[in-house]
Amino acid sequence: MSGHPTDLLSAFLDEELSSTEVSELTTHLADCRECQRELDSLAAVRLQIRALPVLEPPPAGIGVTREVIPLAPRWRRTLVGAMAAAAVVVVVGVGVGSNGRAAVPLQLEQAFDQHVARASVDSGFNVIQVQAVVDR
Amino acid sequence: MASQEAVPTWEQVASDYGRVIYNFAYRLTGNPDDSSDLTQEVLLRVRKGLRTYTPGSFEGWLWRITRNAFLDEIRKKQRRPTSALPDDDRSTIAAAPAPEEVLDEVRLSSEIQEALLRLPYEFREAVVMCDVVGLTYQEIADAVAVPVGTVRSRIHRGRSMLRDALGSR
Repeated sequence: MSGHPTDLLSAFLDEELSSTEVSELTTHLADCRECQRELDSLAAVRLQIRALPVLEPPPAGIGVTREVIPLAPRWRRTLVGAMAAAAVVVVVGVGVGSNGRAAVPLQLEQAFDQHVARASVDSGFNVIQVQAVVDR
Repeated sequence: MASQEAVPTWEQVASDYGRVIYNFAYRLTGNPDDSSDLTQEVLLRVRKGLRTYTPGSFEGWLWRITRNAFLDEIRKKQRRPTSALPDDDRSTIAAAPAPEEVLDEVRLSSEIQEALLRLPYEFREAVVMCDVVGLTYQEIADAVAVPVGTVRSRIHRGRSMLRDALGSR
């Protein structure tokens, strides 16, 4: 191993080197204080990044952490999905009726997916929101 | 073996990965609203993608979706990642018992977050995937579609730049 193999040090810390590379690097480190200092400083910053706090997604978003686990029963999801689809139809109908031509390139499947995804994490969201649209 | 890998349901993906996807996005953007949007977008894409997913490197598949969604969202919003928002970190660790220690932690995590945001995107992404998400070099290479050697180089350069920015030499 010639020169200072500093480009291997991060991979060494991550245990991502081959056994041959580890052997050669370990031998080099035993005699090179410069590389040892470099290794120590990289280990310190690596530790700092890994110690960053794990943030909780805000509950208002579809952060989907613990809230997603208790999924609504299948009948409710089916009902919510049907209502979401009905709402989309209503919205499209309003769009067509308001100006006399179908000018809104609405993506039905995407809208449906968004409603179902949101319903699975936010109990009551779809029923309330969709009902409001249907009632309007 | 990869051929015996069980395909998770969407609900499993959401519960197992929702938080880490959010943290990935937050460490890349420093913006909680953008991070929530990204998490939602990723899970919608996963829901569609699972219909056609064939067992293989699930982590690589998931993080490829996450990365593509992130880049698409950034392009859509047509803005660069914003500065760090230390308030979010503060709220997360505010329950710790010793106020002075908490403040020190907040300052440190804010400094690290700000330093992360100053890294070129490729380096920041590699470091976050490795040190925040906990992916192996091979998984990162699969997600980013670059050779493992490139991942190794990016992580090393990213950490070196962070080290220099934080003055920990």
